Amino acid sequence: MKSVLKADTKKCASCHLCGLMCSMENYGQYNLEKSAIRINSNFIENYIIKINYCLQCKQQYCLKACPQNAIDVNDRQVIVIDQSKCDTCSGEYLCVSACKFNGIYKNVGYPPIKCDLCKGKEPICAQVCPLDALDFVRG
Amino acid sequence: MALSIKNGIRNKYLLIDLTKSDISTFVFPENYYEKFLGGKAFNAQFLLDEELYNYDPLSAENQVVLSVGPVTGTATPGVGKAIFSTRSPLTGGYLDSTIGGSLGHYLKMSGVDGIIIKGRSEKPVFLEITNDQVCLHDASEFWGKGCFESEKLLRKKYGTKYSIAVIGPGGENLVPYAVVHADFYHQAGRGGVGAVLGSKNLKGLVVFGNQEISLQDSKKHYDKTLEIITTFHQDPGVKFRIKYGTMSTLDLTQHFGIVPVKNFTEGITEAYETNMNRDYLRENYVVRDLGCFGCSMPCGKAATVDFNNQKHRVGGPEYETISVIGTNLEVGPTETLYFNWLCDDLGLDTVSAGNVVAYVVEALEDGKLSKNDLGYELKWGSSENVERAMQDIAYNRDFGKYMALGVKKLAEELGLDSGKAIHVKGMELPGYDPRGSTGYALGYAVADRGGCHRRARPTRKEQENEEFRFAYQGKGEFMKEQEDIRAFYHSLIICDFVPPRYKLKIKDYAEYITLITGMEFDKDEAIRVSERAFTLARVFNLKCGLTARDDVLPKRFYKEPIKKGNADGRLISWDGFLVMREEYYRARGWDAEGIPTQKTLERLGIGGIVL
Repeated sequence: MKSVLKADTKKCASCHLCGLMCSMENYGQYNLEKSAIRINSNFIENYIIKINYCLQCKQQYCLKACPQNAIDVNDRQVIVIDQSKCDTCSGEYLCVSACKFNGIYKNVGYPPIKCDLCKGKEPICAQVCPLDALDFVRG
Repeated sequence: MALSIKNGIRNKYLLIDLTKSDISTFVFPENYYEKFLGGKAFNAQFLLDEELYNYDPLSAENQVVLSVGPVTGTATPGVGKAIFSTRSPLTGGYLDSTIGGSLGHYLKMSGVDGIIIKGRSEKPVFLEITNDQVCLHDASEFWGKGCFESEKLLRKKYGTKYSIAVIGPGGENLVPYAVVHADFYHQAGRGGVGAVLGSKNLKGLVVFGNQEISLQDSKKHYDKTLEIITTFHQDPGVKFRIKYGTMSTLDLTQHFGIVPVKNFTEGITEAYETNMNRDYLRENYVVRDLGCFGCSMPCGKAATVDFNNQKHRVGGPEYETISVIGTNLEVGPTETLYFNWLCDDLGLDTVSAGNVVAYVVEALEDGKLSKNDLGYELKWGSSENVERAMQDIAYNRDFGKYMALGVKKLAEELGLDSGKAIHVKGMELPGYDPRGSTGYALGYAVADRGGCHRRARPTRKEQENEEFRFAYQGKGEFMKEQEDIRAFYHSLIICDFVPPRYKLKIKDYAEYITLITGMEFDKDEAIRVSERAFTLARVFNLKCGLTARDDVLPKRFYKEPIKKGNADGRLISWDGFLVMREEYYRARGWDAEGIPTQKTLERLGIGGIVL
């Protein structure tokens, strides 16, 4: 069984702590634009909160869309990006448009941002979520 | 002198001149970041620099400064706050008012430490900040609309990423206790910042930024933060706070016997046993938990309430509204939540509005006002016509014109009993009856912005020691210390709810300052920042004409014993009060009249101020 990150949107308080800590853990700065987990809400319309991140899905749309073969599945069954191979499709990020789960994000000038489950550690988002809305199930 | 802070700040403010429709940048003197950090202390110096005490709060000459601080933009525990400061239309004196949500974060991420708003636009406008792109837009289509509708329309245009802050009809109609409302359920609630923005024809702000902030040692900052968060991740105190938010404060005030009931005549509410308590509110109204940006202890609540066959979504309920509207008017939880929604939509501060309505109900009961004066009845325990009263306040019409003055001026204007008008310096009191907490009695009286419970919190120590709860000796020093803790946090700027739950002290945040900015910083300097903040605010108030004579409670608290509960029969002794106040002035380095001495000003490095 592969490791998975599960999200319970009903518990989420939309504090974005997951995203802040993710961006620093993986990209060296506190900045949601550099986060591999995205929280979206619009309370003025409804109380629905959406949590998006890479589901390490079986369909592997991103992998199939990558013209550089920069996306692969590692031995932990995690979809990873080879930073040296990615050329961002000259800014088009075909992987980003291919993903049907909104789990991979543009990162202007750099390879796309995507959850790799913190490289085998317990994902930082699950460690810090105050409401325990994120649960890491190790495979 | 070169700026010794090289990281964690932007060293840049936006200056928005609404009269000229001009946007420029403003750079503060280099040593301001060292002396004042940001937030409260920084803003206090700004109000004095600009001599805003010379101008009518609602004139074009008054200015509003919105600041963040060195920790903003990081994940430092408690981050998620910004602070507005201006001359208050409610008190005529110093005002700062904090706001949660994501406004502070996105402001800092846009590349600035704050914005200064001056002048007056000819037509309604709103300000857009998208990183370096800053512009004013026509707001005619939003003017006149409630806060919720305004945010909804702006979100359709800007999407969900932005922080959106608006004023409602209350602010537009210059009600001196109008709020700034942001991101569905956050408010800069007290003192009338909303009215000042309204006087400038500024309907709101939409803010987004994603520009990296350089930190002195981001690795250590991250490791320290992660350790704190994970250590307390399952802590019962943190979990309790997340579950109940400020709703649990009613447990404390009910136990102390300091719940406001019927315009601060009784100290406990019977409804606590049935439907005015944290569990009932959570089970029956709260739909989900919400948090301010980046908070590891999100204590906000999202509720729904059905009132008159209409369903409303409302943030909260927070304790101040539960008490000052709910228990004070003796209305039930459904009514309380609806009036909460209504005030949020109208852009009114629930604390001031609740007090004003309660004062009028009592005056009607006493026969000092009649149904003819209002055009309708208001009664204890009845929600009938409260909605109308609040609408009339926000639209400044009929008897609402008087209620919109705030409780102090309402009493003066109509020649009513000012001793029952529950305020300090014109700012209505929140949900803690001072007769059951001498700490609050002093705290309210000397608070820089008027009747405020957020400058200092005495109840933790008073809870442990019943004798101390009612003591006059030792309270001056104690409250000064409590204020200094808060003022430091409000200068960083963080939420003061967070540190105690994480057992974090001033020194922990002083370390954060060093990790973020590179500046050497310690507890002593942190206290000096706070002392500067309070003394600068004091100087500002003195220049506004507020003196020791204004550092007093309403007569009710000296003359009438509180009824019922664990403070039954208590009142505040005038002599005892003076003992506390003198001790407080002394602790602050102010003279017997509450005027900062030259020695104090020099010690704090703010000499040169002419009093």
